[in-house]
Amino acid sequence: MGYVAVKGGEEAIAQAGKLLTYQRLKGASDPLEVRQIQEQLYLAVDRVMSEGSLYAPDLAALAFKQAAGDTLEAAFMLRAYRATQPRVGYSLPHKGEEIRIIRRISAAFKDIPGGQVLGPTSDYTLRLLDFELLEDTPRQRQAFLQALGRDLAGTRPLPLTFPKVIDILRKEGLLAEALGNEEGREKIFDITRQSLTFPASRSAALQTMARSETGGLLLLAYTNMRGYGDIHPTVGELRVGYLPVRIEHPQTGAPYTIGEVKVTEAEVIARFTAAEGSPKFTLGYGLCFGHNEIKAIAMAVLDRAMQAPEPRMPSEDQEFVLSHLDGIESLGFGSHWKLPHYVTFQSDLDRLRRAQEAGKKTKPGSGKDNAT
Amino acid sequence: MSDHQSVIMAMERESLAALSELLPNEEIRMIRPPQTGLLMMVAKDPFATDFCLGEILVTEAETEYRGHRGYAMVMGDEPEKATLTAAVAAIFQGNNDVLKTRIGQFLAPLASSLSQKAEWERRLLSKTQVNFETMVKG
Repeated sequence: MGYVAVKGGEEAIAQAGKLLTYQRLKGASDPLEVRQIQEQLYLAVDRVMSEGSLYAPDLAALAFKQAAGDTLEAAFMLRAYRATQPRVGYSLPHKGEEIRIIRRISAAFKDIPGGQVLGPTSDYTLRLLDFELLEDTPRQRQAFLQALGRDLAGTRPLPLTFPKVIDILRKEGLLAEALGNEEGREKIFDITRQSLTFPASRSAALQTMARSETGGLLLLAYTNMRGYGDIHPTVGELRVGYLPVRIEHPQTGAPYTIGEVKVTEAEVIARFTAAEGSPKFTLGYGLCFGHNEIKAIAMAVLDRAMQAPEPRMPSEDQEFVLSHLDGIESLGFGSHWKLPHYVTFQSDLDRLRRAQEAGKKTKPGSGKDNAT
Repeated sequence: MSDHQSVIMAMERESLAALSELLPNEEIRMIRPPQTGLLMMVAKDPFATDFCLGEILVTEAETEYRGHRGYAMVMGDEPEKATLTAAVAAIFQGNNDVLKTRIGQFLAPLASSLSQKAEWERRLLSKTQVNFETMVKG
């Protein structure tokens, strides 16, 4: 069904916008500061940046406030903002090894070089409501921080970086290295500059997933995990931390670090394959802005799933997966059904009525004559 | 990131104003006023495939001090921080040692405070290092 534009309603539309703001203001609580959102609702901010594909924590927090907590809408706002900004260039390429670690675990190996670092995680919490947060006072915060800092004497600071866990497999020649990158390793595809076409290059696929919506990514990966696919992933390594951002200095040409971005990186090891030569493990890779472990893991699972030589399941079909992951695109398409479709729907309605009338006339035993 | 830049980026408004007062602003010429833009972050996967991770909002600025140019790119919409970083970069390429010492002395306590906090957090992280023991049946 097509969409036909309508006009009018300006006053009601303006008032509807004001009512949206009123919903946020009508309570008696103090206004939320953007900095509070940035610092205290940091996972939401991370998600908005990752799905909006723009690293700007303060603007993501502002968008989250404006969208009243709707991460899809907030990511949409960030994308709209980015469209107003010029591109200044590309950073130098950065590897996961460079991440300044705050969390790093492996589900494949108990003992990993450098050790496992749980870092800040909810993995081992019981998800019971913490009613003490109802009274989140500065005094309580201070007491918590003091207790947290106790007994640190004699504790050595965590090293900044760690070796990669998959190097264990690499050293033994247990990891398949080729990933079927048709366009070669040097050619980088940028989906913000070129339309995505299929089969997509590896760089295009990774970029598409890195900016995809967490729920969509997880859904497709979950279909594979549950049996509509046969990846059977093991998390070789999951890293959360800060990746330095370097550019080539325009005056000296030397690498110049402008800052660091928080990222999550996942490497999943999948069941061995024995298609050619000796059997080896294969790897799926996920990397995204912010602290978003389930997104990085789902991305890695789908990266591996799409390496299937003959796709049999939706999660293995590159075109199916990459075409449906973008939150802003799917939000836009889903939302457009709310727009007036009056003319085309009336047309359908007329056709349906005529078809029913015609059916009544031709169907034996139907119609007024037979009813009497 | 230079030590100067990391300290300037962590500064609050009052410290930025104090640093600005230290600088010979009449001698600093703005070559490129602060301008926001998007830097595409490129990552490398474990198989050496480069890909675009996403864009970063940055601010660029370029200044000149006594014939020396200073360039800065900082993260975020931060015109003041970009300008100050570029100005400090230009000054530190020159030979005004008195001014360099004065700026260095101003930034040193802030750098030390940042470094102490970073080390404290690394000690906290260290206490989450774990050695799981495998449970044996029977």
